[in-house]
Amino acid sequence: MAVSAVLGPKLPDLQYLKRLARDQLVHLLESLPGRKDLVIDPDLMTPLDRIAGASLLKQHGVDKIFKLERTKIHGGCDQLVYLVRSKLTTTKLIADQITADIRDARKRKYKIIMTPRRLQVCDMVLEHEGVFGLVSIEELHLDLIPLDRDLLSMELPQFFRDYFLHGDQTWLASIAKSLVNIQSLFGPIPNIYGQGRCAKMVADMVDMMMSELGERQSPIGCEIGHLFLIDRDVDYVTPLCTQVTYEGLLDDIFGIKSGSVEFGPDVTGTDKSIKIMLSGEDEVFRAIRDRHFSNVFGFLSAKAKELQTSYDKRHNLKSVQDMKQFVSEELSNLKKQHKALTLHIGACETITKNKSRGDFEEQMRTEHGLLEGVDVRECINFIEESINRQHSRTEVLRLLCMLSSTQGGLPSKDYKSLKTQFLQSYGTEHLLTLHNLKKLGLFVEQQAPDATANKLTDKMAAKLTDGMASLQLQLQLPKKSQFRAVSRKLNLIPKSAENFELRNPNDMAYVFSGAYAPLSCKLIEQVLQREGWTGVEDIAKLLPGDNFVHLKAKSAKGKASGSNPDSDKIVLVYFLGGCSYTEVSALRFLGKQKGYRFLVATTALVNGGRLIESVSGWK
Amino acid sequence: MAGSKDQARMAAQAFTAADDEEYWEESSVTSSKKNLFDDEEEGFTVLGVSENKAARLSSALRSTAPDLFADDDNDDITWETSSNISNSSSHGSITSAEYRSARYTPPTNRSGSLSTSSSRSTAATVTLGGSQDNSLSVQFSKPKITRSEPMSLEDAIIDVPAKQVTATEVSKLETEIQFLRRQVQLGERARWTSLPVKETIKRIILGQPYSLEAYKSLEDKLALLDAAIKMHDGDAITIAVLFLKKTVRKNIFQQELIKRPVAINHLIHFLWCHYDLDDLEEIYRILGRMEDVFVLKYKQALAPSKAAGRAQSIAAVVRSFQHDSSLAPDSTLLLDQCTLLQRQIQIEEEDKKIAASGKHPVFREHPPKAHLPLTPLTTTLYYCSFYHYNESDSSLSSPLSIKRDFQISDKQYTWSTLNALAKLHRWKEIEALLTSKNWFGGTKMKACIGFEKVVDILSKQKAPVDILSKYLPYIEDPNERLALAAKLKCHRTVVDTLIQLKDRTALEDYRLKTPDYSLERQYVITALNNSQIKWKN
Repeated sequence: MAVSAVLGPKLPDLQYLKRLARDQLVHLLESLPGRKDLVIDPDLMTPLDRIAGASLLKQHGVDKIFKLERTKIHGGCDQLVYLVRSKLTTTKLIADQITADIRDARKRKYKIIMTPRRLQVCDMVLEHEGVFGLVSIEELHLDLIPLDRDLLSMELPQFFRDYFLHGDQTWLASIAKSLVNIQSLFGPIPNIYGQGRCAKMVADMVDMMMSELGERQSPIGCEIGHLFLIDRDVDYVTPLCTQVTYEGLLDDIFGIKSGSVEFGPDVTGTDKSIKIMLSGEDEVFRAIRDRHFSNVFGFLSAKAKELQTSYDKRHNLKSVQDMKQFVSEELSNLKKQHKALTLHIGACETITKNKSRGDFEEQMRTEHGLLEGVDVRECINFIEESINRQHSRTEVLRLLCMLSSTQGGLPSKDYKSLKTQFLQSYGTEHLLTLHNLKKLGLFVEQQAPDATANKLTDKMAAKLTDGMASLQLQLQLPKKSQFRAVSRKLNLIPKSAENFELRNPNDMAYVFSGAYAPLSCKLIEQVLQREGWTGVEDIAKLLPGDNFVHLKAKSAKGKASGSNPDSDKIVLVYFLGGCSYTEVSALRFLGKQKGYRFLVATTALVNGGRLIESVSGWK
Repeated sequence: MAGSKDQARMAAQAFTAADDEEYWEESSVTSSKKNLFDDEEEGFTVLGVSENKAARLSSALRSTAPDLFADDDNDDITWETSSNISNSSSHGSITSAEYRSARYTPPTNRSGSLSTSSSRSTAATVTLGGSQDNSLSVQFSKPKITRSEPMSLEDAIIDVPAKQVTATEVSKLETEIQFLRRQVQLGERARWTSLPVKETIKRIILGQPYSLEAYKSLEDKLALLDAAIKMHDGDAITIAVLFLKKTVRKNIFQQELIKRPVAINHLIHFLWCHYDLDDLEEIYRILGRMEDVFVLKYKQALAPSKAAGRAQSIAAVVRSFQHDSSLAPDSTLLLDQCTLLQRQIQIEEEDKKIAASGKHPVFREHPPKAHLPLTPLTTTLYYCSFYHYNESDSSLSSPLSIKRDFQISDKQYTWSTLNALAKLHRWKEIEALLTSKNWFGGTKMKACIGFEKVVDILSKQKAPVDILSKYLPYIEDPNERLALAAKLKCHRTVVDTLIQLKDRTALEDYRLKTPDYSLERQYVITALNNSQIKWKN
């Protein structure tokens, strides 16, 4: 077990969260004795795999497993358990299926398990549809799912759309609840920092829920020293960039789902696909996941040679005893590593093939130009050409959003021309998508003085209430070159761009080939270093939403009995609205550099493509 | 054992082969920011990794252990489709008893506030000041759970040594009981008197039973809504808004709603999810959010899946917004969409006849694979360039008339037509497309997308070298021209460019790459002998 080579402070064991969720699920299944069929929300399929496999479900009386679909469920037994995300549309679907059963004069017992929480509006829908009396409703507190030793995700990608696009705050309570759970397991977190409107609301709700729980009789030690809450709209640019770290590329090219990835025949070299769990437990993967892609292959080939030497050892085995030891101890480990190595090299091969096609190089040049703010006209030409050639729609939208976000909106002429050409190439229906992106502030026209006319009524309305915060939301339209200013103040673009050291990086910007350091992570670095926002006010001023900080007095911190002495170095960063694998890598790097250990929690893991797709208005 | 020995030997060979490559030892990362991707001679390199080498190593590894992936144990969930059900074996609920003993209290049934409160008190006595929250009871057992062993919750709890109950703890428990008794009484009363609004919202957030009936006065209803907004929970806000909507007159509701943007957001989202689109439209109109009304109407207009129906419904949207000047640009886009849909229907009808007649060679050789209607404008332009390139611009299906009627940019037009013509290998028409006449009747080659792109398109469609050589010299940047010409083996252009660059050394090197006794070799030699050229080296 070479795994125990601990880097710095020890992380709390996140597997407790998984065990809790699994035991609760088992309990809920057992509370309906006998055989039953399970209907699962498609959204929950992969996340559930992390908690309970099919065999566990079968052990607890589940007979058949169905996917929740629009179609009626035929056959099956007389007890039906629905396991779903608490959403209005899903609830309506269930109500329809129950109504269909009634019409067919079919008698069944129904249980609906809602996760992460039971919603009153869902109850209302069931009441409205006249089936409330026929179902029992339970909740499964499946909020943060551990995807790795330092990575937690709610696996709730729709949060981004619901909150940032529609302003719906329904999931906030579940996010707050997940933080309450973390604190009841690993002790209260003394220092809390936040940036953004949602971050503030979540912090308020956590306070309310904690005070509702009351003072603890026996305070348990605190294992996590700091919590940083950050809204996704603080930094849209980072997740929009093409990823070039190994794990980031795996996500961009193969798509990582709840921490596992499926490699097709081109990677495995056989005629079947293989699904593997990506985790730090895999020694080979741990060594390469955070590296810049150019630095992965050399490692893998060295590792391959090393492996060969270990295999060769068996030629020198002198006695049966030695042989026995080799076979029983080393061989299986070698085989495991061999397998991992083969897959990762295969994946590298596919990535290389994928990126050498087309105009990847030009695309990277465009992205770097946008980040740096140089040759913007050329960048626009490249995007225009991609539109003319009908390249992937999502890719083009990603570049358009990147253009707009880095330049603080587009001049009227460019905006209109790009919009028209985009609709010509991909269909006018995508006006709906562009409308959404405009609402999010991701693809906008620079504001002419009189263009805000129809916003005025809302603004005035907002003034009338205490909704100062919502007023801010309305005024959030990016000012010209806001990104540029923040970028300058946080030194996001390295000065020594030439000969940037990617092998043994000493700058976080290595995650984007030395062209840019993630805004979100740099901001976190600054605030942690200063233990607050003093000294970075001028930066915070340029970011959307308010910032806040709650620090527990130093003395009190020291007194807490049983506290992990390392806790001050353990930082939980919670991304509200998703984070990318590159950001996780950047934080791991920051941790190594400054002696912190980061735990990353997020509502979902995103990349540019998924972020854009999640707010599209037309398929 | 013998088999695996062979495998190992193969692997050893593979690895020694790999050793020959200096690549393994040397860092290939010279990554300066602008030049990440060194173009090596013998293959493409991305991010410092050569494709060939990756392939080689990967196949080497695979060959060493073909059965590497054989022993995968899967525990994935397999899905049954609702139509086809095979009766799988049932394991029954053998273990149900085990899990009954799990320590935490089952989530309480919401039959009424009374039962909840009482179950809450029993839970509290066990978990020392706990609440309904399951996670609390787990804290005690936590230190017992070891890192590596996946123990179930219940196993861990049994191992906890019995806790010594001290006198202070007993008294604490007693106070706790007193407190909970009061809570129960409070709960009973709460059924009939209105709880403070904040408490009710808290109950909604924490998933406890609640009732809104008692809030009869408008002030109470509004206070409830404001408390929900203040406490940020979307579920509570939606419930409070819908309660207000249901219980007061419409104009009061609207008047109060307008003052609360957060409430508006939640109502709108609810109406979207609930498909109450008429209500939604009304709210938007009251708020003066005409752009949102427009988008909503447009979305509804897209419902018909047939082109004709869709054109009609979109036209209706355009008509109803024709007087709104702020929406004029988007209305124009929609109008274009209608025109396009109608045109596509007409073109397809005509083309069906042409194809059926079998006279048109292009239709015969490349029958259309998909329907034209509902495709984007750019796709339509490509289609028309493919099938109708030479038609006069009075025809509906002529690419030129489409360019004119939909104001397509020159670049877009060039991309689409060039692609279509190249696919058909119509080199003459391409030449005409790229030739522009000047004022004095002379001609000049011009490509608004740049000649490097022209050459790229043509070479992808396997254009012959003499065709490519026509356009290569027009590439402006000599280095780019040189690289492309060398790649496409257009020797003359290479030589001309080297002469332009005055690079004698490179030209001498290039001489060896031309075929012996060829015209190209002769051309190089002539150039090298030309004393008029001032070489730079």
